[in-house]
Amino acid sequence: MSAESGTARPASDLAANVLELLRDILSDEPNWPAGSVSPSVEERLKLQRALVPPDGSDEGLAELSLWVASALQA
Amino acid sequence: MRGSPSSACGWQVHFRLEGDATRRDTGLRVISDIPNGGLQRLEGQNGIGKTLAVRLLELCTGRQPFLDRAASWATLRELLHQVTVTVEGLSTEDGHDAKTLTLELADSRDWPKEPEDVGEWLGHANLDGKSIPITSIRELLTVQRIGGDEALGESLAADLGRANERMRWLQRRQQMRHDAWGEHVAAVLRVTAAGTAFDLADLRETSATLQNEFGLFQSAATQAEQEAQNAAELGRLVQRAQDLLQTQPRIEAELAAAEAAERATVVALDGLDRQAAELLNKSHKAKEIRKRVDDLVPLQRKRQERRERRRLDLQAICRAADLSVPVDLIAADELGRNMREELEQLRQQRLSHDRAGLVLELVADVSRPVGRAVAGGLGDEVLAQLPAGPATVRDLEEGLERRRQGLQVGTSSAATKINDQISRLQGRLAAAARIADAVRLLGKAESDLTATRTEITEVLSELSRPEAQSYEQVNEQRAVLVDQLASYLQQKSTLEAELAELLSDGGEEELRQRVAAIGATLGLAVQYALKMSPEAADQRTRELAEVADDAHRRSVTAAQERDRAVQEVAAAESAVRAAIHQLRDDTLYGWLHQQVRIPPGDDSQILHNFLVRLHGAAQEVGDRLVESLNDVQAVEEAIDELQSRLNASARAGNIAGSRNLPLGAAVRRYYERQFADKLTADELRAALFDYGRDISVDLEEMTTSWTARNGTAQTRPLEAFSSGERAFAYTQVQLQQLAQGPQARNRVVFLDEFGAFVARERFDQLLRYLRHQALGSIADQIVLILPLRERLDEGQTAELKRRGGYVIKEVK
Repeated sequence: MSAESGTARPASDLAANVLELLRDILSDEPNWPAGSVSPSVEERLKLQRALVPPDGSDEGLAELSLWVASALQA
Repeated sequence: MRGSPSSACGWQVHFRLEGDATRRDTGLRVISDIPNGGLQRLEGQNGIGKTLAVRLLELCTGRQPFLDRAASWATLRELLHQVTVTVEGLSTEDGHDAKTLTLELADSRDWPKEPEDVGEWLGHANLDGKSIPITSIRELLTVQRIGGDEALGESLAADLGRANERMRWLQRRQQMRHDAWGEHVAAVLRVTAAGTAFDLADLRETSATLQNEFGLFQSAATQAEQEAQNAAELGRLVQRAQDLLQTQPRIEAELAAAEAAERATVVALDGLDRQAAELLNKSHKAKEIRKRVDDLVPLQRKRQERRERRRLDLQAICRAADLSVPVDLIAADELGRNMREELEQLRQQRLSHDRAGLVLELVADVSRPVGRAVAGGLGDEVLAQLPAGPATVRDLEEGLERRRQGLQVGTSSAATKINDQISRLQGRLAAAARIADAVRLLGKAESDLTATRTEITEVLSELSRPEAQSYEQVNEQRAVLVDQLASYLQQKSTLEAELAELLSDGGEEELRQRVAAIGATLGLAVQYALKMSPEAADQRTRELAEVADDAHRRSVTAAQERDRAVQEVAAAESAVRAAIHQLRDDTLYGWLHQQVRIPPGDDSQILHNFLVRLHGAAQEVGDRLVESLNDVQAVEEAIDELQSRLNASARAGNIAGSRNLPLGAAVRRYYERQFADKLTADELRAALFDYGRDISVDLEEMTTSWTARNGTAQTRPLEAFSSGERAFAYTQVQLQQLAQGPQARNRVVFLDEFGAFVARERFDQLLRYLRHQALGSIADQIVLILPLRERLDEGQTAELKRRGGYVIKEVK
């Protein structure tokens, strides 16, 4: 499943930095948790990025709708 | 004002910090003035706010130095209040006039509670009076602090601390969406749960299967009932054939005898008539009397015949009313009353035992207007709000039809029995009602006959006595013969009726054919059917009736199960419609409509399928949300553990084994690579490893290994590297990284907490490096922050007093 951000935005430097760190670590152990069928690291990072609001005050329900729609089409 | 050019990009700048903290009236102190210069040396007392000023300047230029210092951030936010930072002498793109940057920081108590990326919350900025975005300052000016007070292990642990603060920051930033998304997904899961609680297609299939079973049982019952009727008819015809064989000859013989007696009586009557005529001819009044008698005798005959008909009528009515003859009218009245009471009781019984029949009538009554409403286009209108949900006109029409079918199955047997009893009783009552009239008519016929006989007697009395006596005798004999003739006629009529009844199903040959035909419907061979005894036919009838009853009971059970299945389907469809109604109209789910299309229309199967899929999708998104939180928390815990172990190792040489945390090994491997890369920087490689190569870090054993220049493998605990040994090299690395990072027009570096840890000879080496290799190429301005020396000259003492605890001068 994947969802492109409905409100594309540049991540802040800090967010980009910490998400990069997260990507590097998850890439080292992509099958965590053991036995799961988790999506790829990039897919996981997409959701991590989507959860960071651009201005700190938006629930981002348009994006949530997009994620549900993507899951429906999967 | 014009700054001092030091490089192609920036000039040396002058920092001023003015506000509550610099006036010492908030409990938080910050030094207020850092003049422009190249390589400067700032010496100050402890606690005057040297480091805080540098971190505040880092904050103003777009770096967030408090990410791993939540407590310091809280103190700063609480006590700093309002501060204005002025930076004079800035180089800009036009490269001519120096610019002045002014930042009017927002009241710190309005800043975010947790340290966040620098944004517009920090305050307002203007460049030479022209407003600029806070976030654009980082392109204009960089301020960076390099600390010199950490051992190698602590330095690496600090890196981990900063990384973990970033993780915590990420978690805080994600929390709002995480919570909000989780709640909304949970709401979708709740409303779509109706779609996963049952399989609508399965329920419908079950309902159809039960309907089919019901049809099969009903058909079997009908067939068995028909066969039972055929078997009964077969038994009756077999019995009739036997009766025919045994009785027909007797009846025909008796009929022949009655006809013979009738003929003889008629002959005798003719003789008596002639004898009577001769008697009358002898009298002188004969002509007149004969004429009168001739008139009365036919009337007497007619009245005799009428009386016989009345008598026979009364007998038939009494048989129909189940009364004995002669009739007792009082007893007949009593019987009529009893029959009427019994009829009323039967009708009441039908009310209580045949409620299904009444409901069936009600269903028929209600179905008519409902059918008209559906035909009129009102099928989708809600007619009733039931506990299970809204019911449309079409729902009601379909439900009534299903109920009608079920009632028809359940009512046939009991209703038929009661109705048969009522029908029979009504027949007896109708016959009983005719008894009084029949009795009256018989009495009248007898009375008329007596009157005619009396009149004949009176006419004959006019003859002479011997003539009259002779005629009377002849007439009496004649009356006797007439009665006999009537009796023979009655006997003949009865025999003819008996014969007609016996032959009502046909003669012997016809009976054989009918028996053979009915036997064939029961699967009986002709020979067997013709030889079948009435008792065997009765046995077969009872067996088939039991089969019919069993099939009937099964059909009733199937109908009940089918009705339950239909109700389940209706309840499921109602639940689906209610859930879809919520998804469509409840504002709680308004967000979903932005990207998710809810199927139009009211096809419950399509809507149910959608609910199931949406439930699965929401479940998947919910799982992904949990996974995302787990990812961040696992990394955070693993970094936290690694940081604790690294600190423990650096401070006390205590090497504890790592716990088996999720992602623990991945985090360790990641930082082993990161730290090895860091230590591979030329300056560190030279200072710490004597230009060794193949540097690696083992964060399980807390050691670093490398290949020495002579080719030998070396391993050394991390805590074995001193801060002084590291500080000079580490500073070079940091400065080199600054040179490689994004370039602002103006770059200022503060080297903080260096003096106490750097040996004198290395300090001079550091100064030379800074002056010749860093100043101008890496930074426009470098400020070394050191503890205050014990001895100050007069000018420095005055400056110390004027500045509030620190002095600053250019390093020559």
